[in-house]
Amino acid sequence: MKPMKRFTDSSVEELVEDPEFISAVKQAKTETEWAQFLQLHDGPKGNMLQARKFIRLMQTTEEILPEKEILWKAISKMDRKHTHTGKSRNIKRFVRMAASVIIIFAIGSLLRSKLQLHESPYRFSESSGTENSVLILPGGEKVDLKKTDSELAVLNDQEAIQIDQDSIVKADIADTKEAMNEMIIPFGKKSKLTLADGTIVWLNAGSRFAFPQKFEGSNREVFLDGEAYFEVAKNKEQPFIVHSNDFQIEVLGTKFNVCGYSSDNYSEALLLEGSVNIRVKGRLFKDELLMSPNQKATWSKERKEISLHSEPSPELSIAWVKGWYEFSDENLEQVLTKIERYYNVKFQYNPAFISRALPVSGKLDLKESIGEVMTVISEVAKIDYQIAGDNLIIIN
Amino acid sequence: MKEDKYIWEEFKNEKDQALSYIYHQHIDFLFSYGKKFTKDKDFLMDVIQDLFYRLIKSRKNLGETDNIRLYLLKSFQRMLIREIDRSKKQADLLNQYRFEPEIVFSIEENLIGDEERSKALSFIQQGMKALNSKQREVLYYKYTCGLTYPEICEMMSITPDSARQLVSRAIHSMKKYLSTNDIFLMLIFKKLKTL
Repeated sequence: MKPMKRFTDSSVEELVEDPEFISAVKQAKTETEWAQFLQLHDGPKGNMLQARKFIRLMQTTEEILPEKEILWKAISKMDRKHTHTGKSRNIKRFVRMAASVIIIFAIGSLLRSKLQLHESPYRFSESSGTENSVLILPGGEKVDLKKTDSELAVLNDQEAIQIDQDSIVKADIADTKEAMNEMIIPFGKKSKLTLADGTIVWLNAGSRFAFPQKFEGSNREVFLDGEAYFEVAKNKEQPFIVHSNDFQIEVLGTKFNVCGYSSDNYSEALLLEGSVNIRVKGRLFKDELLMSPNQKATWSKERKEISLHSEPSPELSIAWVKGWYEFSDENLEQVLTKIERYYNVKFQYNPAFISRALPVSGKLDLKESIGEVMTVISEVAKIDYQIAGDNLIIIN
Repeated sequence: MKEDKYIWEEFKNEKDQALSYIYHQHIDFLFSYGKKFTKDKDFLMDVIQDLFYRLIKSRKNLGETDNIRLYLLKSFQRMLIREIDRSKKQADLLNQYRFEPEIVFSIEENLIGDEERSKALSFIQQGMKALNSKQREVLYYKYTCGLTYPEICEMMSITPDSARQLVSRAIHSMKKYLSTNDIFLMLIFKKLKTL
């Protein structure tokens, strides 16, 4: 073992020059990891804290070249005929040409899909707040799903939908090809759904989701308002497209999470495996991004901007699928919003007070009662609360 | 770093995938670096393409490296400055291109919504304002790019002593801003997701 003591004996000036200390700072991705690193050292840690802060301040944001695949095509072409003796200028012109061809093609296919969308714009059916999750069949028939965690599967051979292993429902109308089934998941509930192609979708509380009985046509298209985690069955011939409030996400076969509640001022997509192409709605090609695994795209409705970050702990974002919710240095307001959805409660608080609260980290078991959850939250975030009726919690 | 050495050999021996790997591994880094010289994306794409064209053309004669990123960074910087010099002579676009990178750290950008722009943040931002462009450049190479002093000196054509001095002056001027209020900074770093 190396002696770990020297960091606590060092000045801030020495620490920021110490390659081992710098790499320790870079390796500690979360506050928990950093706390573990600090624990290995006896003695005063003030200098280490200051030095870490200095090193972290000296970071610039990495930008992503949106046209990187276009540029790559041109470069790999040069590679294939690298004996080519012409000047590189000529080749540059080729890139520009190639780029314009691709863009025109993109506009063409985009307009086409826009037109198609225009012909059949999807609108979620009008419905008042429900207590249980509801499945609405293409004919309009509503099926109540009694379980908190319901499980549904589209049955291909019978053109029907199986619910919780015990009942099978079938649409009333003859032509179900074009029509959509709809799921409404109220606050406090969630659902797991297997689609006709084998794709599995986990729907989180407060979400709505529309899907066809069969995937016909050139794309597999579904619609989402809320949060869902997808494990898409591979099919290169028929891309899978998720339309959410702000995004349109196109994939071939992959795992990803989409969080886009129309009531929130942001939408997020997180990719865990494979690759997806993400496009902001209502824009032609400006905000189209190709995402790689463990990247998160965030669309801010206010700033009308999409940004791409790497997500060091993607498993936290999909913990809800397994029935718990884990967060690391998250601001209290976001945590409360999530709890509101899971438990179907409403918080009343002074926003200025909450925004000044400490960021919180922890893990909640969503099977526990709201009372138990609030005890934990109030301890971690150092807040007082009182339950003021069925669904209202006041935070002082 | 052993891996870099191996990949570079593969590239020199025209193995499939090596070029693709190198390109995809470093393209965002190179683009981000280029953006510190100019906002002109087409221009940067041209220079990046030129950079790879040169590598492909002379791959048999390239030297060894165990740090591909540094190798690309050095060549790219050289080509950028030359191309900028050329375009400045051609057209009088003085403000669009610069010969030295302009480094703006994430913390200074207004990535964070108004409601979260706390006193702690503006305090830190005020401290960062005191850093001059040379200090910024050294800090960027040292902490964002992870270069060593000899490497930084090559990039900036300065002596190791003056590079060290730039860093120690930066710490000196930043020190009083480092000891206060941790809470909001934690939140901000979380938002920035840089480290």
